[in-house]
Amino acid sequence: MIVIITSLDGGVGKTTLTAAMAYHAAVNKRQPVLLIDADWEKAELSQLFRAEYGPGWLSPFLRGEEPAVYKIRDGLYLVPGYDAAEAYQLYDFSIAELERALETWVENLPTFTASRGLPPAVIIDTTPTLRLSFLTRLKERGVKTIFIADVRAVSRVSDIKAEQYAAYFKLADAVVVNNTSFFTRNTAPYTIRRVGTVKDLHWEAMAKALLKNRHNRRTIEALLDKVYPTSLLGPT
Amino acid sequence: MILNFKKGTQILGKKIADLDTGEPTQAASLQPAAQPAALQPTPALATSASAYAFEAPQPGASAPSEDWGELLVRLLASAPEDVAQKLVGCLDKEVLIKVLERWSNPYLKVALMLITKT
Repeated sequence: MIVIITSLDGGVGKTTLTAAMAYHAAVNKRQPVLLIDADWEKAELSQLFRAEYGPGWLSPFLRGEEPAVYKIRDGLYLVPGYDAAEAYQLYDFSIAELERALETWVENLPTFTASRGLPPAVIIDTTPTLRLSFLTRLKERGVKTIFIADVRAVSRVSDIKAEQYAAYFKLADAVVVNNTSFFTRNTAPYTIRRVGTVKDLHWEAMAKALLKNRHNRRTIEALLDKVYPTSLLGPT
Repeated sequence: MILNFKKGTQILGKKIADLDTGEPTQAASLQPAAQPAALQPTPALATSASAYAFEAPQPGASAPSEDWGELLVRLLASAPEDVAQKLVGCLDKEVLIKVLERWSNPYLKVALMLITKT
């Protein structure tokens, strides 16, 4: 089962949410997960997880190389995205090419995970504003979409923005609103509350800080239940 | 730079048999020399489909790894609660107790004492 974490705006917490879901699944629930850092703008997930620089998810297409899969800890694996972020800066790729490469991943993930002994439950962190047409194609392939937004999603910035959000909401299997204010926290089905500043920008510290909040923990738990039926998460 | 979709698809779509007999993948040769202990690239070639499982799912090491008893327990544990309850209701209590007794887990021991007491 493949889950994609996406957003309309940047900096709303896609990577933090990915880290928290991964931590809760692999550490608290002992349900193994494979992460793919498909944020071709920044590859921040790879950095948060301190993955070594090396061939990532785009390498099979760039250089015909097997992608590295890092074992972060028991039950948690990561395919980094440094190669894609570097290629995005250096070369004139069209977005359609990167989308096609990611779609090829999605198509081949069942074989990839099964043949390499990796978990079937996959979370893909992405770049903001993925095209709706691309997300629709992924949805048709059975990918579950978690859309995360901040307060802009619930406070009407403009009609255009509201229309954009409505289109993404329609596609999403779950909508998460981050950093909700007192008045808006109950307007979205899944909300994440602000936690104190995390000194150590490391995935585990960030995930623990987020999950320490009981409300956030319940949100993450509910999200995992929503996108991963227990029976699909492998041995527990 | 052009993305090679044919090659990419070929690499990602490699099946177990292809990986076992095919050419060594390049990931192994590109592994950084000094990796932190907690962050090692996994072997490029898989050994089995259950390689991702947690190393010590149960404290008891004496139980057989994949027999009918373990499969039954896993099934019951992962099934929806109402289904699990119905299944447990259909099974012989003695059989279930025998399966559980094979695991040397202190918590299980106490739980079994409680079950057999009533």
